[in-house]
Amino acid sequence: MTAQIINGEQVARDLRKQLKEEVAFLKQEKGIVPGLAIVVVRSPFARMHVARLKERTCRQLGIKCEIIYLSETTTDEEIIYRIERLNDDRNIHGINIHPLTPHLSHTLISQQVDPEKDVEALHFLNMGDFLIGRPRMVPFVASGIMKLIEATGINLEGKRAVVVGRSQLVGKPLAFLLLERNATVSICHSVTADLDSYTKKADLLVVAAGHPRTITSRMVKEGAVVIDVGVNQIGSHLIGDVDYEDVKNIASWITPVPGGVGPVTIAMLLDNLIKAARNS
Amino acid sequence: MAAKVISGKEVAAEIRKELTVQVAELKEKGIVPGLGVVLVGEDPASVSYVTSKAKGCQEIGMFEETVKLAKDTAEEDVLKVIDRMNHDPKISGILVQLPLPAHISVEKVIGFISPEKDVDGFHPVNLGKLLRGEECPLPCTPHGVKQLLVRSGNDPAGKHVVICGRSNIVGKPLAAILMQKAAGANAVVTVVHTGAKDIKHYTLQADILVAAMGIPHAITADMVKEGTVVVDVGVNRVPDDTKKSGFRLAGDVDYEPIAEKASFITPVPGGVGPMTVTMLLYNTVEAAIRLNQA
Repeated sequence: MTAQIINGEQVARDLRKQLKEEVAFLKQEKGIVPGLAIVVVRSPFARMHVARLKERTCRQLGIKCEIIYLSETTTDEEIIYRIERLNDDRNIHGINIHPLTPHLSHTLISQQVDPEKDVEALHFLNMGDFLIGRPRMVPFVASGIMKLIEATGINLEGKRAVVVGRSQLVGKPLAFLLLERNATVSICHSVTADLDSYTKKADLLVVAAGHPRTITSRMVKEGAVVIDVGVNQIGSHLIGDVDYEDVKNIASWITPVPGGVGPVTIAMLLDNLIKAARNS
Repeated sequence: MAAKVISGKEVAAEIRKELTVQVAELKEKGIVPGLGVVLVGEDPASVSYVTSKAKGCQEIGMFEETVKLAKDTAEEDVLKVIDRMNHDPKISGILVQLPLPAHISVEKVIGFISPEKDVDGFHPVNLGKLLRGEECPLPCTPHGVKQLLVRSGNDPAGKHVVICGRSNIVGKPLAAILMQKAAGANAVVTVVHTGAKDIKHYTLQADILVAAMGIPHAITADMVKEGTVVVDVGVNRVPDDTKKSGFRLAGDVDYEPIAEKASFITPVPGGVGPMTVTMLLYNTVEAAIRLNQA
């Protein structure tokens, strides 16, 4: 069996098309132009190219995008001051903070974002509401993964889903999204002994461990749907957490890296933004 | 193999003893932890819970104030009481006894409690902190389950914990607690529920099995592997003519035959039950400490 490929680019294109229509509708019916602010602290962590890609995507969809660049020597106080101004800015509906340098307090800073503009769903209020199933915002990498799963057409009801990794952005929120779709969910992590015994039972396997090619075919059940969230840079190549060439022989569906999860995440960030603009 | 019984009464008594010492020490520094309880209406079960909470406070030397409101009290007036307690320095923790009458929004009332004084751990800000792994008051029942495990020598780290049930008060927060990278957690967590085709398939894989479905004796002996640690969160009233009240309390676990197979088991009553009020007291003492640090 050779797995069918879950084409993240295609799923993202379809999502962007829907989003573009929603933006047009918002403009026409309510006179609202959704506005995204991206705060980028210049540093090797900042993922500047992703910020520019977001800006370009916004432009394509008719969304206003403002990138605020701060120097590498910026302080918590300066970022918080910028966020407060963005919180008060009626033309900004969502605030996205790019990865910060380690000298800045990411948790403290993320709590300063107005929960209504918290398109990353990192404010405690939004995380709590999300946990008990009444989310204002859904963590966007996790919701992007759900879109990829939907694209396969599999019904999660009664299926066993195994999530490897318990990060704030992926593993933890995804476990609760899968639970809402009536899957039986197991969450494994670095302290899990005998990882194979869990992964091998998975009908749906989502890997976000952050280690290249951790998952090989002997760890995967025949016919499983495999989603690879890992992006590991090895030399000039991007490599996932799943040994793609090996696992594709046993899975029924698989995401490539790159071209799998990555492309849909920006669309889901903008989906949160449009929701925020609609509710403003 | 006959299971060792994890007595919630004993563990709760142990924790209350620790709290009594802690409260006495705090008092020497001029800090008196205080619990404010709000009860709306006269539901007999709620009245009995509120009474045991008040008694618990007195036993460990804490200040306690219970405000009883008529069941037709307007939502606005309930919020006024909470607002007063939010600002009252004598009160370090606020508990609104649930359920509330239908005309009052639970969401609004819980959200109105100052997160620093939310000792039930149900304020969304605190649930968010829980999911993120930040320090926060943990919801009392799942917190009690964690304490029972750790204090009986069954640290969940590296174990496969299978939680049956995904309620907002037990299953989901317990899953979030036990999956964290933290002491007394670090488990592989599986959540099964009514949507699963074959619950037994999962329960048989558990090192630690937590039953929180609210269905009497839903977990039968054939669903439990030899040597499993079994925690029963269920408290169900089943009709029983031999009792004066006409009912008895039954857990979600079929106790007798499972006690033959399990390595550890919690009884009902006397297992998780006594822990819930104790963890509320624990959260209140913690809140008092935090409020005085700020």
